[in-house]
Amino acid sequence: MATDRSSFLVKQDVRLSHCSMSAESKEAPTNGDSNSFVEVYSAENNGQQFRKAVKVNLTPSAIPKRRQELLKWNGWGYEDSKFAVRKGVIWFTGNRYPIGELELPYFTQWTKDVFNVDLSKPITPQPPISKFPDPIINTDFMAEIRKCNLVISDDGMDRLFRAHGHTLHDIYILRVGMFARIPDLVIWPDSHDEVVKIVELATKYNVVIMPYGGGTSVTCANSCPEEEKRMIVSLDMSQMNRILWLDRDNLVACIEAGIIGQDLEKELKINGFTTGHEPDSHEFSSLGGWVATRASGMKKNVYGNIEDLLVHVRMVTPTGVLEKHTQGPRVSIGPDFNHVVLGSEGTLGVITEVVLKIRPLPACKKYGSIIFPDFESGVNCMREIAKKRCQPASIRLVDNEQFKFGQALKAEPSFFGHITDGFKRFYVTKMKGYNVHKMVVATLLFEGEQSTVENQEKMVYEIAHQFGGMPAGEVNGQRGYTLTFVIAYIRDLGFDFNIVAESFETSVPWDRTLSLCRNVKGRVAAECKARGILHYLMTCRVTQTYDAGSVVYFYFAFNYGDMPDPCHVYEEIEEAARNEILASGGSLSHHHGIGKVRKKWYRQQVSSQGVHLFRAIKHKLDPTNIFASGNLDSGELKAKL
Amino acid sequence: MSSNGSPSQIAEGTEQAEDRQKAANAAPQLQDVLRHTCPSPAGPRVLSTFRNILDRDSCDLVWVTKEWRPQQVTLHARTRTTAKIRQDVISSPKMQHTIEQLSSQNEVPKEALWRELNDILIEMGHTQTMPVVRWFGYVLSKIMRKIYSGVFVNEESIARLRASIGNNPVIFMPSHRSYADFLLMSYVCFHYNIMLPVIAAGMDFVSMWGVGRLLRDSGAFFIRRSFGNDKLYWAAFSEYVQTLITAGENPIEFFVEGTRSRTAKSLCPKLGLLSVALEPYLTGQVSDIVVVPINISYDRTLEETLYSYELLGVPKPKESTSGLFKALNVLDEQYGRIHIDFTEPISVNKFFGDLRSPKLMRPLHLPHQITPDESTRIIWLANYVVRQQQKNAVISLFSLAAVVITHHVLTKPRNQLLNMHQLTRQVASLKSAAESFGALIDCRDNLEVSLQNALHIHKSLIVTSKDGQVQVKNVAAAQAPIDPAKMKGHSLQDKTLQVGVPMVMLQHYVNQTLHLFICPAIVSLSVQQSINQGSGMKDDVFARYLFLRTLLSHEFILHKAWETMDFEQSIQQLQKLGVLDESLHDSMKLSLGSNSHLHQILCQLLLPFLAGYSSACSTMLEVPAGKTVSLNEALKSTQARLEKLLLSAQLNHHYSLSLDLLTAAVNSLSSMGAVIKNKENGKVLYSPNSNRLRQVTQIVGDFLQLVAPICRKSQDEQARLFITQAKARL
Repeated sequence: MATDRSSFLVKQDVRLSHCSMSAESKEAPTNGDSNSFVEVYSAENNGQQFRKAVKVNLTPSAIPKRRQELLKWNGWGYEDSKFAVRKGVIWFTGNRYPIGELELPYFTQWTKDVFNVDLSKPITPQPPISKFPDPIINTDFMAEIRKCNLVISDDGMDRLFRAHGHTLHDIYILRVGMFARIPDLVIWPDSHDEVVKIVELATKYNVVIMPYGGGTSVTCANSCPEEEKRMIVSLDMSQMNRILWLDRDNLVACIEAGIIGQDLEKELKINGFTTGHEPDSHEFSSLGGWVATRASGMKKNVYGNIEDLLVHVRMVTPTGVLEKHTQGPRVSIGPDFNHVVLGSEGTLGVITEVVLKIRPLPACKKYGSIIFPDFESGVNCMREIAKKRCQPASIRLVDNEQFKFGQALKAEPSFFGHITDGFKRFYVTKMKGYNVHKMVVATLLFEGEQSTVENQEKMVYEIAHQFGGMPAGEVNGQRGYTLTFVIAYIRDLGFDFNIVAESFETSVPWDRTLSLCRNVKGRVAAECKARGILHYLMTCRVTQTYDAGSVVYFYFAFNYGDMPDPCHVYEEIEEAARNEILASGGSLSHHHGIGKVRKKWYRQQVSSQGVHLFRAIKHKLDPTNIFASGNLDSGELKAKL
Repeated sequence: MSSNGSPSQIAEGTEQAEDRQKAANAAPQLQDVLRHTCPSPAGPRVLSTFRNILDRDSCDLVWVTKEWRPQQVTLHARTRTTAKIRQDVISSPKMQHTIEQLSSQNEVPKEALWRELNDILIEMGHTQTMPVVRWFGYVLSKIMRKIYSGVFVNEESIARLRASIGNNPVIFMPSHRSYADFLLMSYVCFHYNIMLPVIAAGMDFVSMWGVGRLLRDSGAFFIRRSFGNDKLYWAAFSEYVQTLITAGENPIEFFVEGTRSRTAKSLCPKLGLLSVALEPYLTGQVSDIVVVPINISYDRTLEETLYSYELLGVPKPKESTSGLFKALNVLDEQYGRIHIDFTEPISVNKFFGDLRSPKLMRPLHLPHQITPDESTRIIWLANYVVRQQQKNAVISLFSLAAVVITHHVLTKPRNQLLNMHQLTRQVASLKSAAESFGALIDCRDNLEVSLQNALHIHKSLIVTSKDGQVQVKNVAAAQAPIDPAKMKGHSLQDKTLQVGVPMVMLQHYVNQTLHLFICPAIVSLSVQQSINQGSGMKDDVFARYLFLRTLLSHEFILHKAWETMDFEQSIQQLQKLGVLDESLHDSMKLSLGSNSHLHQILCQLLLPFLAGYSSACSTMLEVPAGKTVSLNEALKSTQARLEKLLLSAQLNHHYSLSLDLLTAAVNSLSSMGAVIKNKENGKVLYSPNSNRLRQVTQIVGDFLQLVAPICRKSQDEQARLFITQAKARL
């Protein structure tokens, strides 16, 4: 039956995708185009490649198989986009982002003020690595795989690229050292059936599989367990990026799990739809990754989180495919096993196909912003907005430190711009009595029908007014959101100047939101003081609102001076901060997941019975621990086997 | 004794044995915590870091009108008016919830409860206002200059305090020996530009016309002494304290001992207010609380005479403003120096080892149920705070002199008076002993001069004749005539009081040193008894030590977790001082050393306690089976028994009469299971647990026998000796 459906699906697929592009790329491959990749790749690396018959990929991915050609091998994002220093001033390279090619004098000053950096003394990371750990090869498995006509690679850089995510620890290692364990082989499956075949073989020959989506994990979920002696295969899902079918009547689409966010939205947009799922990483993160980590999107107020969007999911496990054989919009058929897949973090199987809800593109999209005299009034306002359930698609409140940081990221203003800014500043601080060192800003994004948006705007601004808030314009709001993608690049600049940085998040009941923010900041300050860290940034923002609570996102960065192991120091402080979060009533994670960095708190969060239940599931679906990423729950199970 | 079981078995009631086990399990952990909490001190404390804050460049007027820019307690602090604080309490989810609950439970209209709450909060609330603080500070400066020769503050400790505040709420926990404590802390904070504390005070002051208002304006808030089942009051009080903690605007100040210690010994800490104050930490509303134990040492306590009467059972006059004015005759006297030391600030989070667990599913308006684990830590913290207060005391030379004089009076025949030369010599040796126990002694010049100065301050109690004889003087007759009907305890005879009052006053100053000597004294006595019984093995000594320690655990700060640590430390110190023999090869066997004089003094220190406890045992043994007595009845008949012993010269230390001591004795017997505590109709009644009580009585008696012979040498005339001495000076 599955085969029947897939052949039908392919037809749909052809209809959907814009044929001109796929045809074009097939005939005239250009550099960086994923369709051309397979040929170029195999030609260059003969002997190491085992390619299958070229099958035209109808939805070309923005991310090539050889990711390092487009993306940094040891940092965030595109190779051509980064913060750099030119004549003592920081600027942003490339033109993919709105601040591209602009000099940032305020930001330059800000880094000096906050972190006391000396921009004339950058630290150079190690050059691209050329020596890799010898792969552990399971020869029987390899022999079988070769027969399967799959795209595979044992090239060192390919393996290294899939040995990590974007946790501070990962990137730090890439700059100064080497991982003890990296995958031994990379396979790019092309379809659900190929995944089934690979998992079968791996189970048969006791080979470890680690699914790899966008590689944007910040929980060390992609790291290979050092003690793993079996062969590790990284299953790069990026080629499974087709929209298999789209159902306009029921507003759902069946999508392969390897598709990354920007491709998915691009494709749906052509057809007039959107999923509305927009996590901050959506340029690079994949659908499968979202499901596996219980991702949350910025616009969840209108569209819902991944668990709200997900209608149906297929997961290939060593003992078979887990899926529901129904697509009812809501069902009462016992515990919902979609929720076993959601958040499984690669420990139970590979997610191959997902049916997601889709929505017509919104008629109206509008930004906004509100300034508040202090963080407390901002939080109280958000609580009220949540109570009245009139949240716009997104509402975020940044604290004063981040507000100032956002201001600093403005490029050199034009003469006219300068005057207006000066006047605004004067108006806000002198006439309205806001304190520049206390005020905070909330950024808003409205989406929907024109009238809905107008209504919502009116309500939100009215509530804001009750809490001392003042509308601060669309431009400020838009800036806030567009900068989101750029902020991820800053850490790499920090690395060059003795600064390590990372973010962490939590969800917390409303009545504890303020005290949690205060406590965690206080705790981090105390931990810094105890370690003699003088120059650091600890800032938070409330990024989501729910009926029962909020989501708080922290950034923490510090100048480590001449500490020998800053990464470890960071981890110690984050651990203290996490303890503080938990003690202050926050959760272990809202959307980043557990991975390996938060395993030690897993039992405490879900109770011993919860851990037993998880282990029972794991034992049934994956009795020989093929999916041995070691995320969530640690190795006790493995010891038993 | 052998037939009655070993002391250690007796020491442990069943529940106590469990507690002990628990404490023992947790002990190593705490050692870690403490090491972490208290980085090794920069060096031994020295007097040179203490500065007299009355001795300042600017005149008082300039000083009180200085610009007020205090160091903030927390960065997030919000300044709130009294009305706003009241409003915050009233609108808090906890109060809303409490009122809803009480309203439906007791069928009282909510409006009535809201009104009641408002009244409670008005009665409670502080109204700190700087102009009042300034003028009060001015008057205080003048008074203090008159009666004190200096208020010395350890400036090193101030620097340490400054470095540790700014992030988290702060609780000041000073020792409490005198009413003066209330004002001193604010005075010191004002001097050093630290945010003034808000102080928890007992309700007694409110009724004093003008004074209540004055204290309120200086930052005191008032708590009723007892409000047992009043749920509304309890909720209002805890919410009030907690809003002060979470807002982090002022340091909170309260006395963990609960009330002024009349005996100058530290009182066993009270946990109620501390638990309430720590709740915001335990429920994750604040990330940490900084607790600062503070020692305030007085050369001479303002209330010394009053306390002495009170301990003997003469009722405490109700606080009144006219009484206060009467008390102003204190202004004609000299009270020497005050030493204030802010001890190492304690991070509650570190102390608790990040104990908070996310059991925070409960919304914040529901009362926090303190877990057994939390409760253990709170008890620990409270005891630790008191120990820190003790460790950071500055001991006056007069206290050491009081030990020597008392010892002399009790052990030497009447015709052998103490002369200044002997006193100096003995104080010198006691001083070096005390210093080896870690004491900081207030001795600024050479010993002789300092001692004379110290004695001079106390000239109303101790006189030195021209020929250098040191004698105890009877204090002036009671300030108010004593109506026997008003006696709180047994109606003591006049002649008993005449010796008793000065003797108890003298003991007040002896008590100031006891935290140094108590463990070594218990160990010394245990060693002696063990040797007498033919053992001397360390285990045997430890068992006896444990018994005494348990017996005296309501009298001194002897937290279970420290019993082994204290034991080992005491042995080391005693060996160094020659009280125990150091040269022995067998480390498991202890024997007495050459310093028998110090050994005697140490053992003698236990006499009034053992005598009092022994009599309390006898009294309880006489309660017929099936009958019960109230605490007051027990105290009265024990005092009567003791008075008889004193009059018949079988006992010569009047401090045994102290009601405070005897109350501790009954409590101790009760927690040892020798006496059963029953609650009937809200009244607490005691009955003997005969078998156990007999055992305890026997063991206490055995220990007392050991101490008593020392003084029995001169027993015949001992009591009369003192009276004569005292009367001679009347």
